[in-house]
Amino acid sequence: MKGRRIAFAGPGVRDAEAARREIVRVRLAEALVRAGALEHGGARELHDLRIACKRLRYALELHRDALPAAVQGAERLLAGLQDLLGELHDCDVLLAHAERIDVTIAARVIGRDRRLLLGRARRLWREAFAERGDLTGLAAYAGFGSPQGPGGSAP
Amino acid sequence: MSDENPAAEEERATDPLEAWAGELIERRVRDFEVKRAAVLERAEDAEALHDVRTRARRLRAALEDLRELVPEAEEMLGALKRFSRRTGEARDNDVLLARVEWYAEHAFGRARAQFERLAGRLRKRRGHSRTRAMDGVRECRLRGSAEGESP
Repeated sequence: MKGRRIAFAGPGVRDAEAARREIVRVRLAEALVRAGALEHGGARELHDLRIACKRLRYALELHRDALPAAVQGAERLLAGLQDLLGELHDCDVLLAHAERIDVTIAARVIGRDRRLLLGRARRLWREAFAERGDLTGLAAYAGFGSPQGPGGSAP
Repeated sequence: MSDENPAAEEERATDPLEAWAGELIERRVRDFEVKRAAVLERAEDAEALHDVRTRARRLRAALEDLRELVPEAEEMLGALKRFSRRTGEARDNDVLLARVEWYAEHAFGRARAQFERLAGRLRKRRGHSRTRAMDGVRECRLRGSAEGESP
């Protein structure tokens, strides 16, 4: 999954703070549009969501010292989500191996773990957008649906 | 860049946003190079390989975010893409093998035998992927890369 190219030439991006906010806005939007994968549960879509969460997490980490306190929890949340999605991906790869050598009992065990991991990832994502959830503050900072941010439009 | 006029080059060099981005990238490059040196010293250490791969991912993410502001971004991204491709299989294989070995340890009867088969399949791939990974670490050049592959 290719990340979107971020343009800094716009009239609103004059300094480091505006550039930082633009990066967070674009990377958060990429994760949000892929979050439906948690409901559908498809391997490819979940993998793309994992990559999008990783990009967002690394962006938050790179700019950690300059970001407001309200967004600090998001980094931890994304690390947890990324771990779960990483394990889910491992299950998908192992299931493909298991299918190739026809080990059905092993595949059943791995499939059961995959369902448990998906359930945990769904819960984590839902909680993250609850009131005072870890991604609520980040969405406001990025300008999604909040008067605190600039514009408030999705990219 | 050498085709541009000197005034444009001068302006680029003093642009505060580019200077800001350049500093962030340099910090990530230093982290990566420290971990790359460590893995070259400890070729058999799976965790050292994991560490350098995570630093490479962080650097790559930063370059993708800031590529418009960093003149060398495309060259470095090309090198990092090659690096990830060559080192990825070894790490993925180690992680999968650890998971399957755990399953095998906690299973009984036919289930255990099946997990052992799965583990055997993964172990077979280990040697080759490890050699390829070390070549990838050794040959990675972020700047002045001879290969012209685009990211």
